[in-house]
Amino acid sequence: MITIKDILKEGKDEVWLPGNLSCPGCGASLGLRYLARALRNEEFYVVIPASCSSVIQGYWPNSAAKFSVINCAFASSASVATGLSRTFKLRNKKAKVVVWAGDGGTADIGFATLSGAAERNEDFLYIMYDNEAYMNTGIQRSSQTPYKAITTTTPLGKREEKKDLDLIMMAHGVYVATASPAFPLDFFEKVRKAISLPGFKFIHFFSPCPPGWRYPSEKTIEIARLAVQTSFFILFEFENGKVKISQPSLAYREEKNRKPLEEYLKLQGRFKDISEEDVKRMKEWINQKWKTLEKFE
Amino acid sequence: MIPEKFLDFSKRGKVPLTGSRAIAFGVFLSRANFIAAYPITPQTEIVEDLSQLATLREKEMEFMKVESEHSAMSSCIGAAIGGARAFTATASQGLEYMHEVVYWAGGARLPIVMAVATRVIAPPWSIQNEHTDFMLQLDNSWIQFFAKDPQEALDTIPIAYRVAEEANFPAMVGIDGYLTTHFTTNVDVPSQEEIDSFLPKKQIKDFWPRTLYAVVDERYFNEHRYKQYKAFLASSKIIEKVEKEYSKKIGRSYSAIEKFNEDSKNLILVIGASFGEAQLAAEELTKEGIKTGAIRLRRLRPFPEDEIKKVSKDAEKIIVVERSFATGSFGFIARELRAILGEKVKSFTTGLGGKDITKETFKKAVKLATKNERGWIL
Repeated sequence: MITIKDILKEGKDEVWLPGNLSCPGCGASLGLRYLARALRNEEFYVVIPASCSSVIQGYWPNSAAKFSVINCAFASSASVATGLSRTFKLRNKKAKVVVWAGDGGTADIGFATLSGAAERNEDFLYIMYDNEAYMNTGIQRSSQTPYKAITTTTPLGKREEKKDLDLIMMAHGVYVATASPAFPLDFFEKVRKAISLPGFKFIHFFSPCPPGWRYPSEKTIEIARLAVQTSFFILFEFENGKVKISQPSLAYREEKNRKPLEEYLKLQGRFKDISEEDVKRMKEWINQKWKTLEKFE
Repeated sequence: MIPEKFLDFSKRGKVPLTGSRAIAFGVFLSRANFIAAYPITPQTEIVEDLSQLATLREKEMEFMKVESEHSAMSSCIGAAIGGARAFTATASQGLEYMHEVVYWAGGARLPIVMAVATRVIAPPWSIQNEHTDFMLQLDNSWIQFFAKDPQEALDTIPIAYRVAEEANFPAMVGIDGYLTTHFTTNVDVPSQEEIDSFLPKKQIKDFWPRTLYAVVDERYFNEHRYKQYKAFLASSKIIEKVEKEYSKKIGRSYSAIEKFNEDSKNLILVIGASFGEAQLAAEELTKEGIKTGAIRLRRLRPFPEDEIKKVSKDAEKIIVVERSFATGSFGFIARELRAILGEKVKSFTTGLGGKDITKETFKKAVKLATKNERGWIL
């Protein structure tokens, strides 16, 4: 298990710079910071489709990235990464390619491209940072918005459940992992492991969004941690057909050990109108997700 | 499958090729090493042939069939950024579906080459020839050529790469669906050595650590576009230089426009495979006493404004016959010609959905134009 000490030994300076254009408490910016630190010993190229991250990296001629960034059209990130990684291979160039895309760019508009690249087992790491709506355009619902969350296009709360993208990616037979900013070392290790594996790798990064989820910006880590403690978001890895529950989620397998979901929901304005019945339904969904994952253990 | 006897590129020789196969040979000889495509009629033979040709250069030439045209162009974008010589081919719906990233490739100034095997855009459904798909891409910062036959199609591919890589803009090569893609003629295929001497290895500029295509705010955006605009116009000079060099090295000359009896008072203007019929019509009309010549627009972007002005200086009527469908104004090319030549340009639409354009079509158009009419030839 990697420690903070180990990470600091590699260099105390940041690879993703502070003072960028992200909102205070931005989960995505934290994710980029950890990602960049995890890959600091590599020459790595990050492909970013239209998303908050296209903005928060800074306006030309400034950039918060001390690595290479290729911005691209919304639905094209997995394809741009495909072309880039195949060309590096042709040239025998040792460089890593990573896609850093939002949930809309991944699970909605970029979905066909993502699936195509995974099916062909293209050699790069795809990270979906999931803030559960179109935040850059101002909080519109996506297929990753959870049940009953209020967005500007679901004023009464979303009627449908979140699309289980993890399961869909598992069906592609590739490496899949989930990660959270509340457990940076877990994310760090998953990035390092994924980047060392050949072929297609997918990481689902949970990315709380203060303005979108309607909570005070200092609560990002608290909310991300509660999501794991309530099993609203379960940390696991899927490799060679097997699920391995990650250490931070292990304690919450049994429902009685989990923190009440209400604690997670009540901190966020987007769930302000939620009824008891809805909470019950969401808890059932969590149990179901556990059962599904356990089938692959 | 390409017959084995056609696959000797060590010496120059005449080979019976369709337009599609000629394009594939041009791409192979240009040593394009990244090809991504999605199938659409009538482009399919180009990419089928390239998938076979790629097996001759394992580990040096990547061929991939991707999940959409949008992804085909997007992966060419990634490959070109990474240093590959990238190629794709498409048509019709596929080109429309790809459009967003076609524009991206132009703005990003990546030297990708794309062949377009022209076809109707639905609805109604039709897989027949029409230039509308190609014409809808006129303003995307792509250098655009339109070849008239398989020989020119092959020659234009290495020219397109050389120009694209010197000017840092992508280049599109149009050929008529069926009339050229599926039409076999003897094509003089240059040897690999000849093409290598004309088209040097691609220069690779690495960019570590750099940010590409970031947000540019209103303080710089207009100026950024102005630079792009000037650079694009300047590519005309590069094209002329490269075409001269191709003529010197390979022995075939190409220029922005092809002319036939251009000192006539009526000038038919066409694009692509119909040029032969236009020439026949011009000859017959001249015999009948209506002095007519014909010109073919080979380069559509950058638009050869000066050449057009020069060739049509003394013409009384420019009869633009277009196989493309534009609503609400004149035809795509006619409106450009009207902007520089005015009222003497007469716009005709015909040949949609694969309808034959024959010498009779052109004769009708010229006769209507002499009566100052314009419109459709049905």
